[in-house]
Amino acid sequence: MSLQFVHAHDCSEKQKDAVWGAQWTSKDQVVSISADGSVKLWDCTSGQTVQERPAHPRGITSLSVSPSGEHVLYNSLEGLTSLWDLSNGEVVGTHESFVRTAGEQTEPAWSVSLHPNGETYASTGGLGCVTIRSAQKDNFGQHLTKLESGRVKFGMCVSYSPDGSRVAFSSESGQIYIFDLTSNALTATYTSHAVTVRSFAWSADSQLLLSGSDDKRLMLHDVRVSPSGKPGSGAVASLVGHSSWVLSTSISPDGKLALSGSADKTVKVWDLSARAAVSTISHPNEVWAVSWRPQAAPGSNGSFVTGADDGVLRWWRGAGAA
Amino acid sequence: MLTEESETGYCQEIQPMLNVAESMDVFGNENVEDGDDEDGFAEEGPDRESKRLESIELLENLALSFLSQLNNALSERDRDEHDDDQDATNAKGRKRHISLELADRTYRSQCRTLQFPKRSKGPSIKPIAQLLRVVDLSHEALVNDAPVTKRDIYYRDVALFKSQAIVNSLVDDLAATIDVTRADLNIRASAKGLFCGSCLRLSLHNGDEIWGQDFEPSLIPVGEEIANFKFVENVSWVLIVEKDAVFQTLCGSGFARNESLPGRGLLITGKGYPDVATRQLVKALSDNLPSTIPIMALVDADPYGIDIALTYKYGSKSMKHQNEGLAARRVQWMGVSAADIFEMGIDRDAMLPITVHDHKKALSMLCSPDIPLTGSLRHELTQMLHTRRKAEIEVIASARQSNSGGQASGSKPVNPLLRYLEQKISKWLALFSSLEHRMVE
Repeated sequence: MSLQFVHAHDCSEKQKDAVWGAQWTSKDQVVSISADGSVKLWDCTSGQTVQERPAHPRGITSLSVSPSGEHVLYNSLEGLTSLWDLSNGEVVGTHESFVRTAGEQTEPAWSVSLHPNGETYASTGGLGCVTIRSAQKDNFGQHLTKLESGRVKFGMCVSYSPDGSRVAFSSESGQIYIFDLTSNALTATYTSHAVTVRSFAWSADSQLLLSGSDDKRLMLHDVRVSPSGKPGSGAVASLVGHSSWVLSTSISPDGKLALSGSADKTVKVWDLSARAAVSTISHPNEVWAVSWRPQAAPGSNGSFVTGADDGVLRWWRGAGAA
Repeated sequence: MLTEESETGYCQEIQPMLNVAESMDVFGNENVEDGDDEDGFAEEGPDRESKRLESIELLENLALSFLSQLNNALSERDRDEHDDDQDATNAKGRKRHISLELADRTYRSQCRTLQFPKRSKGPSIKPIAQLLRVVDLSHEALVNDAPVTKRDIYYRDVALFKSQAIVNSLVDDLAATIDVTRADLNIRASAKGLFCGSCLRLSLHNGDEIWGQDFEPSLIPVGEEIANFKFVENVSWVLIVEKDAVFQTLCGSGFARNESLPGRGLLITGKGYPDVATRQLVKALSDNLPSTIPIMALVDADPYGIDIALTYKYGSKSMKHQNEGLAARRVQWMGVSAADIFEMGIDRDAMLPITVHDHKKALSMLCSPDIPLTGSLRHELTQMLHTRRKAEIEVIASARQSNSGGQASGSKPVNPLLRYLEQKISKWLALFSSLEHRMVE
């Protein structure tokens, strides 16, 4: 089986450096972060910038958008975490995670994730653990909980499950850890990759987790939890086909298709039930960001946006869709 | 080790070098007055002598300050003992410290203080003893007018100094404190840097000449020993290499007279972070070579490699007090960049993961307002942090397998490193000559 996706358009103006992250929001806009320090909000039909933050002197490494599409959490290379409210364009709070505070073993944040309810955010970095901090306006960045994996390996990517009950993070050495947030306990560790996992994505129903690694593969994990507390069956499929590192992943809103961006300068679309690539789209550069449109047009295979090392955002839509 | 002729300061040293270089025909510079040259040398004698005497006096003042403080403290103690019966509590509260202030080389406005007595784990007199021993040996070297090396100083009292690093930092501290250069203290480092290229010839003050060779490296002597340098052939490019191993490979292949490049080249290595002598040579080249000749630095694709390139260009943090005379602004970072590595078709997995130290170093370089990073270096460090990968220069050797398919069959396999450098240097030469054209127009 193969699916066709057509290139709709590019962003009106390319970034000065690589696009490091992009997310298609529920308000049908795209937020992007770049190595040039910019954070921008784009219109999906025109590809024009709607809003942007003044460029930070260093690159922005991590991005997380609230389910409402109104709040944007982002983090810079040195660990400055900021929350941006799109409804009024203001910055709700910033936290300098690189500043050492007494009595608290801290690490500069590398990757961040905003809780679906917007009350907290999670961060990971050099110490290989997840730190939960407040995302409220009055005490933004206040340390709440620390979840330890027991290993000191650089945390590459952290993300709350869409239902908000769990948080997962992946490390430089390839492990993926899942913590339960009611008990704050480590519930599962997956060692399906032996090298860096740069990115992973939850399915919308919080039952699947797709990870992409420097080992060129993507692994699909069944992360369901039965009422008895017994974890799901773990790694259930490996998606092989990229010829270099997998840099970004995203699962379609209906959970049927997945996207992966790679250093081999392609984007692949995968059929998760057939466990095979159904489309390969070439890019001029490494693809650091992929994101599905949260609401697919009826009858179409969906639309998505990609961000590449050349600083260009590209919009794609399933052939046959209007 | 002892040389009859010794110069006192690189500042004076650069001057005659400049004159010599300017008067040379190879550079096509006309209208250079010969008088300049002689003036430069003529002024040197008395100036050097007065500098020497001044340094001696400064060192003596430091020792005197210590002795007078000691004397005061002792006489005060005697008085206390005398008064002891009358007022015991008063005597206890009185402080009898001896303190010596040393300049902080990183932050010029601050200074650190050696104090005795002081609460500390080890004997608190030891740092003072070490400092005074360095003062003593430097004083001796100045009085006898016979230079010593830092290594000499260490071996003169191994038990006291314990490590070479302590001597090195004390010598630089001392120079910064009395505000002279290290050479003014008549202290030198043993030569470490190497150069390779038959186009360069160095004349020393003791009458010796060092003739550069195309296949063999020559030691770069201390700047104070060099009377002048000259180019016997047209030099068209200068390449500074971070690593000795790579430098030796290039020497062995006679890269300085590579036929695919126009004119002769000069190779220099400081073996990691360069010593003062190497930087003096690079600085002199940077000041005197015509602007069409690129001075390029080939370093590892890691934060320390980039820092080494910056050290040649802007000077080092620990030698801030001497940086103006050592910063060679024309040094250009050539690579190895991550983009070069991918262009050669080298697999990303051939690169190494960065360590915690690399991460911190790269971040501090990106965040420091003191380090003037160009756009390309900023991009390189940013990319290094983001991909969490670095590479050594030697990674280029792995380009062979992936690229050999495209080579004409039957031809001799070319070392990928040489091919890379040929391409890079030609590119820079083209860039420099086009810039020159634009300036003429």
